[in-house]
Amino acid sequence: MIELKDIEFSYRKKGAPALTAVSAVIGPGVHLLAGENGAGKTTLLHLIAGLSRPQAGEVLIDGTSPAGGMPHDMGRTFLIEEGMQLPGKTIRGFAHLHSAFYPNFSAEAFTANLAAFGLSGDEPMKSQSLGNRKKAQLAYALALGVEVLLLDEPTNALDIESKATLRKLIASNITETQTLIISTHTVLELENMFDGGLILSRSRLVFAGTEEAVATRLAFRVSRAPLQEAIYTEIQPGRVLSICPANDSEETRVDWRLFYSALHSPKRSEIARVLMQDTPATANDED
Amino acid sequence: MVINNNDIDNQHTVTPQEGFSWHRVGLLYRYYGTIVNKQTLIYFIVSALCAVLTLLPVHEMIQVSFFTLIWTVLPLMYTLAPCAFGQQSASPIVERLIPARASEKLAFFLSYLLVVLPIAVYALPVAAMWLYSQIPSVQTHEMMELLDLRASSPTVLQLFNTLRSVALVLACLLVVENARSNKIFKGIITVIAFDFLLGLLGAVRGFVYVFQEGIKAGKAGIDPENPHAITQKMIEEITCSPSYMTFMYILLIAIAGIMIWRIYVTLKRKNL
Repeated sequence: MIELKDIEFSYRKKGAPALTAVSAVIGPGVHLLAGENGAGKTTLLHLIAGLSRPQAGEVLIDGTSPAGGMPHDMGRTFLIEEGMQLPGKTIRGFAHLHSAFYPNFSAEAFTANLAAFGLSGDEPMKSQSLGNRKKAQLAYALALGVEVLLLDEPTNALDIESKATLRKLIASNITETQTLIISTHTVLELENMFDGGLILSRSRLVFAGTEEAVATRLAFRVSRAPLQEAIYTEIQPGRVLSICPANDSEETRVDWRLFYSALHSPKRSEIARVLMQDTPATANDED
Repeated sequence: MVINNNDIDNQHTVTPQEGFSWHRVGLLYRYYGTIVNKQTLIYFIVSALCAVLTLLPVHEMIQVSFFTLIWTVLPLMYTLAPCAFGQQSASPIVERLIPARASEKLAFFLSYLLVVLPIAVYALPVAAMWLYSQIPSVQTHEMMELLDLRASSPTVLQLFNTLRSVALVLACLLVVENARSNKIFKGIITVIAFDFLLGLLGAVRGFVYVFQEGIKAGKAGIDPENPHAITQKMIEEITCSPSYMTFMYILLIAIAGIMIWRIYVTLKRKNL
């Protein structure tokens, strides 16, 4: 379980905060991390990975800080970042040198993941396309068996088929005890994968909650005409997407893209009010 | 699965503090295997070539040139060794994520640079020099004079040179680990600048000596027309001067100590 406690972080002592008053508890499952450019997504991933330490507050994974420099704590997380380059001539060569630090690494899963992406693992990394390098990295990261896996824009540079493969691999590799946080701008590509979400806006966490918590309070509807009861509406060619308060018997799938847009609109406080009815599931509402 | 930022549990799980592990140092050797193996192999080949050059039956003057060349190239090669860790083929984040203590990473760097590599660099040429000195037919060669001079250098001077090399290697490693870009270039510049500064200290001491002791040397009956004798006397006196050598030892040990501490702090900062 990841605990973010009142995190404050800025890259310069007197600079603008990259993250402010961020608090959340993140359990196992697949979580979306969304936010506009510069909202603090990568910073948050770095804090969880233990690559940075917050100026105030703390990040804890199962009660200990990943930034404490202790191998056991450091070995619980792994991060694949946008544009990251791994050393070694081939991904198999890299895995041979690097996986020894991770006791839960599964060589079988690694081989299966590579095969699912159509790779053998012996391809020279330097001569591979960006997409193939990304596939190799994802195949390795998913086989590491770490408690917390952080993926920054994992679908970038992947072709349509590979995106579908990635969805399958996430489903087959991530166990019930693992936490996967995916930072992405293209929510649609990993639709229906998320158990929860973290939504950042201007360095603040405007939402942290489970899909269930959202789906029991909000209904995501598609209609031909605008709905009267809608809190938030988006008109698209030939259809209208709406977020409405959910009826007791109703539970729709969360449209994370629409939810994200709603939380970045003036309707945010209204959405937050509905979400916080009964048991609260959202916080940090600025309005 | 629960995500609820209003439900933060204040109880911390206490995990046992992990001690230093040589096993993880071994894993670091494995992780850096590509760099370490390649560098050790290249250095060993160069060192073997130097050993062969030492033993080549060529004209004695050429042999003296080889000797000078070898003992210029090898120390330079050795002091620049940390630059190999400045190759930026991978994202620095990958290294920072490696789950090992900063002290284990330091142990890896120090054991490799101060134990493994000196053996790879110097073992064969030193053995070749010894072998050469055992050949009866070369006992009258000029090269033997050089070897005798080297062998007769006071232990304090040999220890001084060793400490100087260690300080240079550590300075290079510190810069390579700290620099964010142009790591290799910055490492080379550091070694050159640092070596120059250390040389300058010796030069200042020599300058002072000439002024202080020059007249005395004349009085002692050393031929002023024989600069070799004056230089030899100066080296002997400087190296036998307890205050100067103690100062230099303390200085070099302090520099090496500070470098090791700074490298550790850098590795810890990267680890957080």
